Parts: sequence; C-alpha cells; structure tokens
Amino acid sequence: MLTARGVVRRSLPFAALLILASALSLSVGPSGLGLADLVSGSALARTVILGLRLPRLIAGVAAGLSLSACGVVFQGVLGNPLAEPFVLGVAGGAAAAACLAMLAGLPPLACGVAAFAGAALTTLAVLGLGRRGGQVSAAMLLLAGIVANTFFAALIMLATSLASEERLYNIILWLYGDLGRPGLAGALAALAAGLAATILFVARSRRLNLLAAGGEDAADLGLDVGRERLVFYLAASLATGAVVATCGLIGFVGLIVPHMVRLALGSDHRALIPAAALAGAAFLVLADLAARSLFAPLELPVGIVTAFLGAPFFALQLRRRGLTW
Amino acid sequence: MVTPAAVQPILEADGLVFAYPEAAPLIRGVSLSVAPGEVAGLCGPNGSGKTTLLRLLSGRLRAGAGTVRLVGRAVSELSRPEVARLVGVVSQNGHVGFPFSALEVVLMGRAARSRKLFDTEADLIAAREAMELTETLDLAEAPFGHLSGGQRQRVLIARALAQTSGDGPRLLLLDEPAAFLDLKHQLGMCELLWRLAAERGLAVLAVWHDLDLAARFCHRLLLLHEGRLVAVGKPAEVLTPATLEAVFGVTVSVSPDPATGSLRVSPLGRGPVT
Repeated sequence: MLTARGVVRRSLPFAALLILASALSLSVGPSGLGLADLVSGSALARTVILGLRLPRLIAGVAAGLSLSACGVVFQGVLGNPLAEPFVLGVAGGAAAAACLAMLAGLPPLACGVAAFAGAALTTLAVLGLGRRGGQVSAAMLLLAGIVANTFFAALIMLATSLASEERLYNIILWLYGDLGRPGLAGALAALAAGLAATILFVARSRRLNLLAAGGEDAADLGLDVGRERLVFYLAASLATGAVVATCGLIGFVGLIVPHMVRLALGSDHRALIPAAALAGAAFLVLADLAARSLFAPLELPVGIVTAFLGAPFFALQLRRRGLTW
Repeated sequence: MVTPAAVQPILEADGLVFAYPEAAPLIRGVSLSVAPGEVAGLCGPNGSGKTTLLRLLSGRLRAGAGTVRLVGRAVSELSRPEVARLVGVVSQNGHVGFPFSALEVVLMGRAARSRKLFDTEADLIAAREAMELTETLDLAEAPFGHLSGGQRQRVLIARALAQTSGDGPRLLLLDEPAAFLDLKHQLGMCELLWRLAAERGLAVLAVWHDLDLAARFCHRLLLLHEGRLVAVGKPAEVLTPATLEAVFGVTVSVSPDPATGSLRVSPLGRGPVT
C-alpha cells in the first residue's frame, strides 16, 4: 500500500538526479568558469553563473517539471499513452496565441495570459474533436492534435511573415525553445505556475487514478468525472501556457519522461506525478546542457534537442504498443 | 426459493422514462424495487434497455421523468460519493486502463469514502476482506490486465464490495456478470452473488442473458421489453412460454431441470412475425 513516506522514497532518486544535473549545469560553460570560481569570489564567475546560468537553470527546471507533469496528466485523464502537450496541439495553441500577442507588441505578462488562453481553448477544442459518442477515441484525439498543430503552424507562419525583422528574430528564437531568453523574472514566473499546477495534480492524484483506470466509469466510484477532468485540463493548460510563453515550444518532454518513470514506478499517480516532475526537470536541464555544449560556443535552442530525441521515441512507442497501454 | 419480503427496499424506481436527445425513448415507464438480501435478475432481448436502466438506477443517467430512490432518498439529490457508498456497479466490459494491480483496483473503490490522498489502514482491511470474499486475495499483486475474464469480474465485484462496505444497506448493480465466462466460472459467479445476498444482506440486481442461470439464481426476475417491464415475479411466473414468445419472438419450451429442479428454457423455433 502506498504511503506518503513511500512517495518520498520513490522520488528521492529523481531528486538526486535533479540536484546533480543542476550542479553540472551551473558548472559547465564555454567560459570555463566553475562553481569553485564562484566560491573564491570571482566577480566574473558571479556574473556568468548567477546572472546567466542560474536563470537558465530555473527556466529548464520550470519547463521540464511542467511539461512532464502535464504529460502524465494528459495521458492519465485521456487514457492515451501518446498524449502530451506538444502532440495534442496544446503547446501549439499557446505558442500561436503568444506569438500574436508579441506581434501586437504586448508586454510579457499579457503574452503569458494569451498563451494560457490559447492552451485552454485548444485543449477543449481538441478534446471536443476527439470525442465520439461520449467516448474519447485515442486515434481521433491524435488526429485532432494534428489538425490543431497544422492550423497553429499556419497561424505562426502568418504572424512571422507580418513581423518586422527585429521582432521576427526574437519570435523565432523564442519559438524554437530557448532557455536563455526568459531571464530570471520570466523563469521564476514559469516555475511558480508549474509548481502550482504540479501541487494541484498531486493533491488530486487519487482521483486521477480513478479517471485513468475507469474513464467514464469512474462516476460509479463516486467521482464527478466532468468537473474533475475540467480541473485537470485547466491546470495543465496554465502550466503549459506559462512554459510556452517563457521558453517557447519544447516538445516530447511529456512523452519521454513519464514513460521512463512509469516503467520504474508503476501506474499510481500519487507517486508518479512528483517523480515525473523531478525527472522532467532533470531531463530538460541535461538536454539544455547538451544543447549548449554540442556546438559550443554556439548554443542551440533546447527544443531542437528534445525534438531529435522525442520523434524517434514517439515512433518507437507507436510501433511497440500502438494506442493502448 | 423464498423471496425476502417485508423488508424496506434499498432501491425503488417509479415511472422512469428516458430518451437520448433526439431519439426514440429507450425506457418508457419502469417501476421496480429491490430489497436487501434479494437477488433480482433483469432479463430481456438485446436493445430492450437493460444497460440504460442500470445507468438510470445508479444515477449515471438522469431520468426524463420518474424517480429513483436509494434507502428512501432521491438519487438526484445525493452527491456522487453518497451514491457510490450505497451502490457498487460492475459494468459489462470491465476494462481498467493502465497496468494497475488487482489490489490497487480494489482500493480505488475506497476513494468515495475518504477525502485523504493515501489509503488508510481501514481501506486496506476493507479491500482485503472484499478480496477474500470474492476469492481473489491471492491475485492481489497481479496486474489487472493479466487476469482472466472470470478473475477480473471477481476483482471488480471486490471493488464494489470495498466501496460499499460498512454496516448500512448496499446494492450491487451488475451488467451481465456471467458474460464471457465458461461454465465453471458462470456457476462460481452466481454462487458468489447468491452468497453475498444471503450472508451479507446485499441487494443484487444483475442483467442476465442466460435465462437458465437467471431462473436458478434469482429470487425474482424482471423482464424488460421495449423499455417496459412486461413481467415481474418469481422465475416460474415470468418464464412462461407465452411471455417469452411475446418478448423474444421465438417459441420456447419451459421445463424443470431434472437435476437442479430450476426452470430451463429451450428455444424451439421462430414465432409468428409481429
């Protein structure tokens, strides 16, 4: 039987992994400065590590934990092993809305609100489209995600065609998923939204178990299925919107990490969500480390790295288990 | 078989009418009641509205007219957890998504009884007791998806028992619990339901396709035809050749089984087309 202590015990290895990844991320960079230089009081080390690497680390943690936790939640609520914010088009909806807000020259907070609205509306639209006769069909849902992504890609292309050259450059760098852009304030805002959503997910994770196991039949176990789903969708939209508004499009984190953690911990969402959040944060921090080390001193947006890892992973999952568990 | 009479019914339905939007009515005025300790069988041809009726009785669907009462209270005024503490449902497909273990599945039945995030010691005791009753305790750690059809049904009944466990009255609604089961497991399922009613005072209302099993293991049968109950009573009163021919559209012979003494229904041929 699962207890609070059991959840902590199962999360510990992932927490250790995150601490390790964070230390590594703060220590490595083209300048060659490390944590030892910071301790010895070097002003340059202070600027580089606390001014550049730390905000980047926080952005990575925020994006990784949010996207991974949202992946677990979408997979659980929808009973679909391939569901995650990017594949469902939810991240795309957030990106398109934020892109239009940026084009209109709105401040970052307004862009964040637009991203949340875009994510929430897309979630409801994609689920509406994927629902057939009261049942959400796994195949229909993924097709609905393709429709949404295609539409939002067109919208983003439209927005970028209309943008001035300077804005275009900013929009494109943001869109590719760059953790260096948000800065400390943006990263902290995204972290706050991600943590809030994750705490809500954990608090309702016993109910998520019922939804994941029973779908509509969870009503017979005493669950208000419609209301519960809506709460999960809105919280997941909030977290996804915050990540997209600050860090751009980072795909497949919500697919790769939850599957790995499920293999290790099983299906109980009370243990799965905190562990997947920690693992997602560690994964993205490491992916970003790779993104800025591979072609150093040139830095790649981390979204490119996750896409290169995620697309084959998606194909493998599709091949191995199709659309069922 | 003696029907437990003169007991306050746990479930009472009165004048139920239901139609899906822009469709012909499926349930056209059904009234029934089920008492503690009673095994009632709901029979009828495909499409007669059996599953829909069960969903109305468990409050999953809202009736267009009529009322459902659980221990005297209107189901529409009870919250989902309140209904779940009184009524356990075992639906037909018995699907459980994700590789949860059998024990985890049974423990899910306890969610309606507690607002806590984690299962308590009491939850575990109730789950184990329910699994013992349904002879599934040795499967506790097995992944639900790896179990046979009969084992899954018994685990889901254990979940319904854990969900409704307590001193108060409780009702089990089952949609074709014997479907997909072989002879031995069909018999085991029926004996289990019979035992739960007799020993634990559960009220059981189950949908049956197999009229012979229904005749043998139900105190009372309710025959549903085109959204109406056309016959209600002891098996011998309901399973008459005339009634069955009118409802199923085939001529049948009904005779007591020499070994068990309960009624057996044998289809003879197509009846007059009406």
